[in-house]
Amino acid sequence: MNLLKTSMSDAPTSSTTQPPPGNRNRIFWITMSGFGVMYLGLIVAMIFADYQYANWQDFKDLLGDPTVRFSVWLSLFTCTISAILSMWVAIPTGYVLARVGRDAINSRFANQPLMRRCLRALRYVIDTLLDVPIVLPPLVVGISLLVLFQTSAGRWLDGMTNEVFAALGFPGIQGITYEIPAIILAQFTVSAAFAIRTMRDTFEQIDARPEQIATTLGASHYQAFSDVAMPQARFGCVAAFTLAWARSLGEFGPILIFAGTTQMKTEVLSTTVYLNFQMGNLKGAVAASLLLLTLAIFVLLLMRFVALAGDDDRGIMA
Amino acid sequence: MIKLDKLTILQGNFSLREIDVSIPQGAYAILMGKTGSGKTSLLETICGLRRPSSGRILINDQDVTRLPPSQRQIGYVPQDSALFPTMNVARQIGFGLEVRNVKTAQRKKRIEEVAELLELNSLMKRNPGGLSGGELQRVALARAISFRPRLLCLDEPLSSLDEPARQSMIDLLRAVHDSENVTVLHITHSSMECRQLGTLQLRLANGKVEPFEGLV
Amino acid sequence: MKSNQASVRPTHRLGPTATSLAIAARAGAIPSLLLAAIASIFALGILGYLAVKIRPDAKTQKSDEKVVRVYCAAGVAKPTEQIAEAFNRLSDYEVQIARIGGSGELAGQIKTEFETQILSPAQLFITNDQELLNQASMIEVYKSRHTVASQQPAIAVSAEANQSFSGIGEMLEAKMRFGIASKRTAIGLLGRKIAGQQNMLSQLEQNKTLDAENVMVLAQALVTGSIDAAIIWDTTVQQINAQSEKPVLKIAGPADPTGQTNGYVAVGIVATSSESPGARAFTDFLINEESAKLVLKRFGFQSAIQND
Repeated sequence: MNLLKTSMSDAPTSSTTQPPPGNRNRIFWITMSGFGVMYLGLIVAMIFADYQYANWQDFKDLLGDPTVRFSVWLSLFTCTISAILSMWVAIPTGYVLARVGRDAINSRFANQPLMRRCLRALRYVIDTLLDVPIVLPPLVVGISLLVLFQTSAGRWLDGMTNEVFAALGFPGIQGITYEIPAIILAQFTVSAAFAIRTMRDTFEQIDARPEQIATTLGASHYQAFSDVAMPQARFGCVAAFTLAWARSLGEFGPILIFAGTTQMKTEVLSTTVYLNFQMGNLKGAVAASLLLLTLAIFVLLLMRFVALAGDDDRGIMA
Repeated sequence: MIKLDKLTILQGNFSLREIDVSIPQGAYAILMGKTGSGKTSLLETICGLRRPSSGRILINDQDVTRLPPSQRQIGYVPQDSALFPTMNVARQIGFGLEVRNVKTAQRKKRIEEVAELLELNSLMKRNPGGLSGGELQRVALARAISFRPRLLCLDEPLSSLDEPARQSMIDLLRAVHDSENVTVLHITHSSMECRQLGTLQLRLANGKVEPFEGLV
Repeated sequence: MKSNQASVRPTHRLGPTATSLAIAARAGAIPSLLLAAIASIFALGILGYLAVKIRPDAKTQKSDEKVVRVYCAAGVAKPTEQIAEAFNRLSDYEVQIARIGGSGELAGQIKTEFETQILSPAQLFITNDQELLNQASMIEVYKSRHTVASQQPAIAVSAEANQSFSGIGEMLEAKMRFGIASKRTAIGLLGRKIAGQQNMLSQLEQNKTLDAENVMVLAQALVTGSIDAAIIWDTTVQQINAQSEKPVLKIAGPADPTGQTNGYVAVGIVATSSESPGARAFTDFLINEESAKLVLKRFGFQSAIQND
């Protein structure tokens, strides 16, 4: 702000009526960066305040608790599973959405206006539906899942899962609802939507032309996808995976309702924060939040560095 | 022999109706046409990337109209080269062989042969990122001929090149045609290319293909 | 012309998948995707196994009749946890505190579960607010209701503050930033009732800084210093203080100068389809067992003999 004022008032005294272009550029960049810096400041201040509030002893107390250690591990396992499952859905779905977009429909059905309209409307509906888990309040996702698994099909699946776990030697896992599979399903429902969005954007950025040429060279559509499109999409994949992972780690509302908050059973790290807060242990809640935060930052950084190492063009940008 | 039998392509803003063309085996056919006359659409239809509204495409008397592009055995060099951004030049050239599961030794031999022909030996390890326009076109051409296609389709292969590069590319195209003994369909808007290269000269005008009778 | 093709693609469509995979592997082509896919399936398997493995009870066969699923109001959660631990040691049944939250929120979920006939519903609801069990819409949800203990609305302040009040009236006069709980909670309703008796309701509503969703959220606001005083349960103060080395909150006085206003902690046995002897056993334990009474007393709850 100061800089801006100084240069404005300096302007008339210089020989030209306008500030020199170098100066103007500097003002432009400072102003543009200013907004981001303010937001960055907010994030850093929040993290800093958390560290101020909880001391090292709170942290040690928290990690000394076997139920908390359980929730940390359960969080890590379930959100990695959810992220992998999300990628299984997101890569094919994102590819189909990107390649069967408006332009493709327009050119394929150039001479069938009705068909073209219907397909474009359908495409619009599909896009909207895929965004539902993103825009829906988290609690609604949880309630919907809970109700879904009370339908006859849901109950059947619940019973089947129970039997599968029993057959695998884990009779203690009783189906899906209020169990570990419920955590994963709740996380997956939301994180898959984010991953699909990311993958769709990624594939839309990738020119479809080389893939077409690959088919003229004798490649099947699968080969064109795996050899030509996928290698170009690797940064998008890293971004989608990290996004899905981070969403899953922070997922809370649906888990609360659909998986419950039983200690040593379905308690994940985000639930630990909530439980500590609800039971009046604010220091514990803050310490658990910090643990969540530290884990998230550490894993996100690690993912970006490891997955994108050796690529000078893109740096650590995913 | 390539034969287009009453081929009709209807596109939003233009149409090609009942095109009849016959290109004999081993010919170097040049199809002239103005920009926007539907030359590229015609090539894409022959390659299988676009569906004709009606009519047939015959290659050596086999009807390929309904075949997917991967089974037509046609090499296509698009105007924008459309190289694979993540593959080095050697792998691009061998791609048509790789997807046909040709053994590594055989494939290597063929890649070297084609690279020799198109003077690409020094670029084999490079990715398309830093290549010049002429180099890109040569890689695209090498990629399209490596698997010995029955027909080679060239979409304005010289338009993006500057004058000296253009002349050497014309020499290369001639060399490819001679040594590979491949039937070529080359589309362009330049009558100069037509005179220099074409053994069969055609013109696309008013939605019809007719013999080019300009300056033969 | 056929022979011309054959010469360049001798293995096309002939080689089994394994061969083509091996060839492609050498080319460094397809496998990157295929390998990633296979690796991810392995990863899923391993992670899934680990996630289940860390569960201490994963391998134990439990019959459903032995498990008692309890939903517990946050304000009673700490003593309930301790009592449940003692109960689980002594009995065949296993009490699981499946959900902890605001009483109103939990009551709502139990009702939903009852109406959707969910397979493993809450069997026991321990609430800070007896009234929630007695509402007309809840009558069919609970098989029986039992009062466990009583507590009193109090004015709480930071442990370092040195005010003391005889009631809500004095707190209002002190012109501090104060908070109350929402009308959906028992403490919120009681606080308003007391203010109403003294004709100070509008003053209370107009001057409040915070109207919190439940009593714990309100108490946390007091702990962080966002407000200076709050009308919460006397037991909430105890529960919060029990979780740090030195007291963080203290009671500056009763909300009701007469000391006649009480709130009741109650247990409701949910009318589930399956009989739950365990739920009844734990309820008995909670109400009659001396050790349970002792725990409740330590957290400031007073015994209340008021069964219906």
